[in-house]
Amino acid sequence: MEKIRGAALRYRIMAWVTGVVLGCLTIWLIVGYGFMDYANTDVKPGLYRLLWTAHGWLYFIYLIVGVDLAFRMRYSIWRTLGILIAGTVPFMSFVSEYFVHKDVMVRVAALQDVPS
Amino acid sequence: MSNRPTPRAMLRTAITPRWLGFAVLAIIFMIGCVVLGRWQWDRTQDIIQAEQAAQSAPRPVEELAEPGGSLANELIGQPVLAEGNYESAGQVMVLHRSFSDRPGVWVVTPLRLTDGSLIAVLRGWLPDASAPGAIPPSGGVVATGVVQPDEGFYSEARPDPGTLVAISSVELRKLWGPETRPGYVTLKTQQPTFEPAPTPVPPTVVTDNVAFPIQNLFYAIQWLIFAAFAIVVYGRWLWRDAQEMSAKDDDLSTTVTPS
Repeated sequence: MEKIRGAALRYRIMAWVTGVVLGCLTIWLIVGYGFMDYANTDVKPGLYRLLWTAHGWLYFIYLIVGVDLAFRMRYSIWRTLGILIAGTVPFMSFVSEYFVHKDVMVRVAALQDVPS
Repeated sequence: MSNRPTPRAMLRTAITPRWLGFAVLAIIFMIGCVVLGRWQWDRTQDIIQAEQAAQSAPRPVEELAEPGGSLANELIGQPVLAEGNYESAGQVMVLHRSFSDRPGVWVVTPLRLTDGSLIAVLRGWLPDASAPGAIPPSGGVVATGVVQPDEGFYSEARPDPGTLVAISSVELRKLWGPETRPGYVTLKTQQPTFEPAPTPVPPTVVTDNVAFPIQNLFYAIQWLIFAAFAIVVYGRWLWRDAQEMSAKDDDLSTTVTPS
């Protein structure tokens, strides 16, 4: 049970971190290409590029903690894939995290009710 | 419950239609990852080439450094464009320079740029200081070439008036005046052409250093990592299914065998 809690916390952190970074980048991308001539490579600021690179590696960590949690929660392969792919769709990681968190709470409560 | 599934149980699970389907999906996904990884790798190469092409476009020599300033390291090897008039009075011969194993000299001529400053142009090699080609063209020229750093050896040696042992813009400034720009240019092309001319010499220092597109390289690596992830997920979930299957087998065998 403690292990599930730990895995759920790790997933929760990564879902929020990747979600916030990807959300910011999505807005930045729309504003940049829409109003600030980002199609011209010279005007893109270094931070913008750096954040995309960072997001790539953050998503990689998200995959690791996501697979770990899904395995511990004994999710089906389809549900696992859904959780993993949610990290690539802007703002979907928050949705995924909401349902996973709810589910973890139910699971942990159920485990607590069972006398060990 | 958490007992290891036997290899037999793993294999039996793997050949069920459900897991064969997953295997096919995993392989398709991995092929896709490799294709996308290669695409990002190709992009990495394309960006490097585009940057090199942009860098090899000649820039006006006036842009690179001010007279009395110094030449930034990353500008060494930069192709440049220089427009002005040669001043034959300031021309110097750099001694002891062979070309294709033939002894000779290098001809360095000050070019008066349109803004009034001077840049040293290494017009090329001659077998000796009085050979035909020593006299520079009069009238305006547009020269292209590659920027080179000062030669650091024996730069203060000045054997005879009008000769040098090394090309040093510090020494040339003493001869030509404070409006002399740092570094020198090895001549590549000159418009209008002028004959006879010294044999052009290749630049000593060439560089094609450009900023590496690390973002695309990382994406290329990440696609391959995603492909590896498919194996991990497939393997772990197969392991779990096999575990459950063998657990069922155990239940079955315990009920069937008489105690």
